[in-house]
Amino acid sequence: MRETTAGHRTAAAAPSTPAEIVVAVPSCNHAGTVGQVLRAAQAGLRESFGERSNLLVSVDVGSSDNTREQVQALAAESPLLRVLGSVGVPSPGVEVRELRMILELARQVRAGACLVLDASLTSMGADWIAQLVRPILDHQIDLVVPCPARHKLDGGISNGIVYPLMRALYGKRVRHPLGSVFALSGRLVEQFLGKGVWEIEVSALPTDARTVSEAICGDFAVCQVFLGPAERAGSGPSLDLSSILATVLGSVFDEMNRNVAFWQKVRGSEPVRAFGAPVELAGNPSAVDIPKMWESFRLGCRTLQDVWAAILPPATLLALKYLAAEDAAGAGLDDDLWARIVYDFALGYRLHVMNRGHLLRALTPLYLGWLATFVRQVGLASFEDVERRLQQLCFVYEAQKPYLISRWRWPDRFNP
Amino acid sequence: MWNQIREALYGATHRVLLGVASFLPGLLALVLAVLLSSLLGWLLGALVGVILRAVDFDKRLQKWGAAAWAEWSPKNSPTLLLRKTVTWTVVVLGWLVGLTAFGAGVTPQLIPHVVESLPNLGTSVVLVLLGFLLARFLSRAVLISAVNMQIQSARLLSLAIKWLVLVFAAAMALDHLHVGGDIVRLGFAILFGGIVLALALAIGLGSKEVVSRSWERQVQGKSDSTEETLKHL
Repeated sequence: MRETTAGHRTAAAAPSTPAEIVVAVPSCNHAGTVGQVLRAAQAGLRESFGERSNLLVSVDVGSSDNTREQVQALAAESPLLRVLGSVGVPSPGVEVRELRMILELARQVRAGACLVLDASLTSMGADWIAQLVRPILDHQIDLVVPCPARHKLDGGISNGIVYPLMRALYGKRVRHPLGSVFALSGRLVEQFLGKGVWEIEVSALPTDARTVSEAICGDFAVCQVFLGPAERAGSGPSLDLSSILATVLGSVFDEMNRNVAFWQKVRGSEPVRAFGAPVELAGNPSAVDIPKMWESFRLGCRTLQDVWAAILPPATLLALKYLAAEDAAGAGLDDDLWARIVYDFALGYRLHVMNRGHLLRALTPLYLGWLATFVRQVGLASFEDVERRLQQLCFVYEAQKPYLISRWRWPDRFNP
Repeated sequence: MWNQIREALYGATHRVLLGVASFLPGLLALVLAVLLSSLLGWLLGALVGVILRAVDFDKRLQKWGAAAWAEWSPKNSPTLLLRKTVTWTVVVLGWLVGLTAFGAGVTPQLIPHVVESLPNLGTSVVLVLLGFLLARFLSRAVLISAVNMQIQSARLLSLAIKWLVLVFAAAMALDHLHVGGDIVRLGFAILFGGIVLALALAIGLGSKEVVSRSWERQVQGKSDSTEETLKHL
């Protein structure tokens, strides 16, 4: 390590002198955006934490484009930035543990705060650094989760499944529990390294539920920070809806299985500390074809009854059969039915009633049915009204939790 | 003359009774062997079931990462699968013992023939079983994917895949047993080729416009479905 003119500490390879803040940017084929993110992080550190010792680290995970060259060029002209080392090109079957490298570095330099950023961000401002790190340094928070601005109808999976489910399970109202940007306290870094939470690959972070659930189950202080828009540039092949559902829900359900003893004791939910206020993304509303989504739901009801019969109880199957007869202007899926369906899929996942990939993908038509109902109900509503409607949905998930617990404990005996 | 008739009748009766007397012990031995083996198989199966349930075998297997076993087992229970395997192995062994006892008097060539055919028979049974499992897995995967792609004839596609795999497995099994010879191979080739051709024609003619529209969108860089304009995550 060496002292720079700006008073920042930098490291050559494996720094061991203490640094109060570590900002890490893992990258893989992000040549178009990594420079922008690193420059914004560097500016943020200088502007807000210039007086403190800090470290900006880039970890490349086998990029095949010129990401590494870009990072090296930037490192040559930047005293703050250090390239921790390349993990190399991952070959099939070889586990890449880049998150471990970051967390171990944070422990090594005894960092008070460790911020992990997403190299694909195109809209990150320098002010993000202070917004995400200050709660840890000034308010004794252990995990900071960002809530980026978004359009009121965006994030259907997050709004309809992940947020209400994780809130009902863990009892904390974390609005966006999944994300590839988060800040950890030194205490939480120790906990994560001790419990093997670093086994998550950075590429899987945008859909991973482990960071938040592990922090809540470990009784660490969690907060959320409302930020501006978080636009991302795609660096890989875009996934279809059913693959996204399978990836996201696989992660959430895995955490559910892991933390049974914790969530079965939780009743209700409480808000977590929040910094800033929710922001609606400016711009025209997205075009949504409700009849098409409802038709997908009806096609599923006509065709997937045999598959769903292994997951859903008879009463739910009957309700779906009646719904399939309605058109897009009908009543749609009510919240109680939707919450029970999600819980039944979680149980089916736990019991391994069929191949888990098949099970998770079989939820797609039901999700589209719920989304069509939701968009029809709130399409013309204001951003605040949509948030209020989501709160209602969350309360229904919480009210239906005894159903989940009963089915989880006695899957054969309690099958309404 | 009466003496000759009486002697002929006595002789015939004697031969029939002798035949029955030599046949009955074998038959009784077969029935006894089957009954005893069924009882023994049931008892052993029950014992295996009790032991495996006591050690919570199904859950342990899931913890060891062999959860796929459950899916292939009846009622998703590997315990039940092992229990049935033990029972039926003992029952089949009982049948073989019984047939040996029975065949000793009646058909001495039967048992060696059966024993010689057993490896082929076993392989064929395994082939059919694997085909059945693969057909179930693939047909469900195709059904779910097709519904998610909003293909109206998803069930038809799934059925076609299922029967293709089943026909393929059955043809392999019959070929292995040397049953039917070239007729099976020819029949399979014609059937398989016919199904593939029918599918190709159906998809080619039926979705010509869909494919061309999709290509157009891809070339113009437009999204393929309207709900994709929403960000789901």
